[in-house]
Amino acid sequence: MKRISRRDFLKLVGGGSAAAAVGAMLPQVGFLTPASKQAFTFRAVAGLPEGVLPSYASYVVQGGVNLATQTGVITKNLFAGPPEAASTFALPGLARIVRVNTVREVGSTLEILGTVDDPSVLLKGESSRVQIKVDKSAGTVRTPFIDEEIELKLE
Amino acid sequence: MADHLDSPGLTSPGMDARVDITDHFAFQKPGDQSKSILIMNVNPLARASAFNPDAIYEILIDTDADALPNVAFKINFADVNGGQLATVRRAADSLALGRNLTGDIIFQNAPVSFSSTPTISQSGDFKFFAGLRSDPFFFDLLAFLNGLKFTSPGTDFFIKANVFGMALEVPNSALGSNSNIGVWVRCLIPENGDFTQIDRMGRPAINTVFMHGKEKTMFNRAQPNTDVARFTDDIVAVLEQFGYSSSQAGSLAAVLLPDILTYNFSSSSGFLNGRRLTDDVIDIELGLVTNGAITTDGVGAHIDYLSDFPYLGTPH
Repeated sequence: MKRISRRDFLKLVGGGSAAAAVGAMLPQVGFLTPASKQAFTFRAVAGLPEGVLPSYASYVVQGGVNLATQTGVITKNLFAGPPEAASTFALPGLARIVRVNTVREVGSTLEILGTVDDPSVLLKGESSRVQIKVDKSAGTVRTPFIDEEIELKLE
Repeated sequence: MADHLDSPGLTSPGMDARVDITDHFAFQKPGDQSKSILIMNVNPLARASAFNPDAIYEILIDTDADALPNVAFKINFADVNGGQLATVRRAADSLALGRNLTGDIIFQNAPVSFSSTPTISQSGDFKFFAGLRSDPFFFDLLAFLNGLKFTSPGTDFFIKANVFGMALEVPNSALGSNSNIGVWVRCLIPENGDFTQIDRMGRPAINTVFMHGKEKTMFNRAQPNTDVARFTDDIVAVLEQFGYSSSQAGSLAAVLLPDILTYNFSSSSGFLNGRRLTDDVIDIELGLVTNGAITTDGVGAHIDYLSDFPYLGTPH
């Protein structure tokens, strides 16, 4: 598998300086969509904090994977504002670009394993290895925010 | 997030951080009980590079507990030669209610500071500062977003953040004869030939913690004298989720609304009497909202506050 550097990747996607910019450029097709037999794109959102308090921010995970090549790029961002009124302002220090290492299809679920492209941005308790579970039938995505697993809704 | 980024919906047609209030403070001037310090900060994380020259920034004073302003300090800015100059007016009585630039001019063409050295203007017993400063707010925002998993010590998300601040030193006589006053701030922007209130703040985090979704924008645009009727149910609903009985939640909501910072200018004590820069308002409110389940976010006041006017620390 050919690996690309962060610099090459950013060049590839248009020279963006953060995953926020990358995320904005990725396809937003709403639901897991077969772009081809082996390629999938998705976008999922959850309001944070979870629980009884009103959401302050929107956790957005989106990207594309290729089952055949086991590759892909997924971005994680935290945008100011709740999901129903989210802004385009990404809170600083929380954008992550995840390079996909493995994609496994188990029933209706895609189990994606990847690595955070730039480990220097990681926070205390946050792992550079990222698992993302896309459950097509449930319409959910499960992946950590820092060290807490969050359930996001596929759009 | 005292009031930072509390209503992205206010940004239509484009997000305008210049009128996004982050915090406001009201406290007795240290060492001089005859004066008060009023501070209004905007522009979270200093994403914009200046104040909005089309906006009116107001610090409002209620002297008779009817949740309507009796005194208003109205601040506006003009772009001049790559910098900005501020005009500050004091409007009283019926003029304080108006969404316009009325009132007696206290400062005209006061320079805005964009560098680390604050330029302070003086006019009689008044002092004024406007410009880029260190954000005085402290909070472990990420632990809050991560399921309120606060640690000790926490991580202060705002430790290196900047804001644009407006600070006024005023003689207490300019705040009315009754020392028990209410203070809140708001931003007005031109809309359809008039000025529209786009953001407001009384006590910290009221909108952030209690208002859901698009109601945040409604809250920002509402007047404090309508708060009890319009927003009591929202506050009660959140408090009940934390184990308060309906009766207890209703009593607390009656304290929190209208969203005005109560301040007795004859007292030097802090929050809930006004708010000083060092007051740990988040710890107080966490304990209140969660019914004692969480009492601290694990971070404390910054150490970069100045000992003199404008009190806000040097920008990062």
